[in-house]
Amino acid sequence: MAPRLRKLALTAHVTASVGWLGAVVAFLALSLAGLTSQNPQTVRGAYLVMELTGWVVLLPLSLASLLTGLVCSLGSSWGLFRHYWVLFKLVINVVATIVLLLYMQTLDYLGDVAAATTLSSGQVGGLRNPSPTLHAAAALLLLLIATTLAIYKPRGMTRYGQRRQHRQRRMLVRSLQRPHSAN
Amino acid sequence: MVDPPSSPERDASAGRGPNAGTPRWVKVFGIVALAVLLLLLIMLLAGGNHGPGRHVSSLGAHGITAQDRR
Repeated sequence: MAPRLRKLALTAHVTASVGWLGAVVAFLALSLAGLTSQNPQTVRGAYLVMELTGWVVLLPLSLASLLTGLVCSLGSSWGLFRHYWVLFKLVINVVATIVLLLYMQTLDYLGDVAAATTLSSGQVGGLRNPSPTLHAAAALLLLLIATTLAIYKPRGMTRYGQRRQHRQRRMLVRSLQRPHSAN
Repeated sequence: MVDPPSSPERDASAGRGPNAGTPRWVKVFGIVALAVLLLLLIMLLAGGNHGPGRHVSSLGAHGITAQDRR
């Protein structure tokens, strides 16, 4: 991939990933408001906004982060399966996106209940549960690990990466030896 | 403070490449990930249903019906 294009892909990836991280922090704040607020309107509002945030912000950003991450790794010499830190980031991204997709069912349900017009104060109390907070906290932890891996790029090549590099070096040595053998 | 830009080639030349073996951080990450996965699996198997029904089971006691929603 051309250097300019690679930088554009990297910018898109960082923007999507950091945006996703920020959205998860906002989601965590909403879930805490829904869990702890004594005001029924705040609790209902929090669950309604969480459902909307999930569909409109979290899911698109997670998919954008995954897609741009694939482009960045495959379009550079880092590769997708050559270095452990890239592989770990891919696993984190895929797992977080799948869990989010599955969890949207719960958020839809909570949003529907919060939108019910005939909700008594007891039912609003029943709406409060720690599940969104736990999921958001786990997502935040995973995304912080992914961000740390992206910045520090800890050493370590996979066996596939080692084999590939060994092959490339062998080819380079052969290509360097050819002109000498011709003389 | 300016760090030199990192690249796969620089990593390989700094001993991060072939025959370096599996780094300790990868082993630690792998063990922790496996433990968390196992814990989640046990929780899912022990808890049964892990979906909207489980997360909002307390609502059932308050009598929310399908008509109440939206």
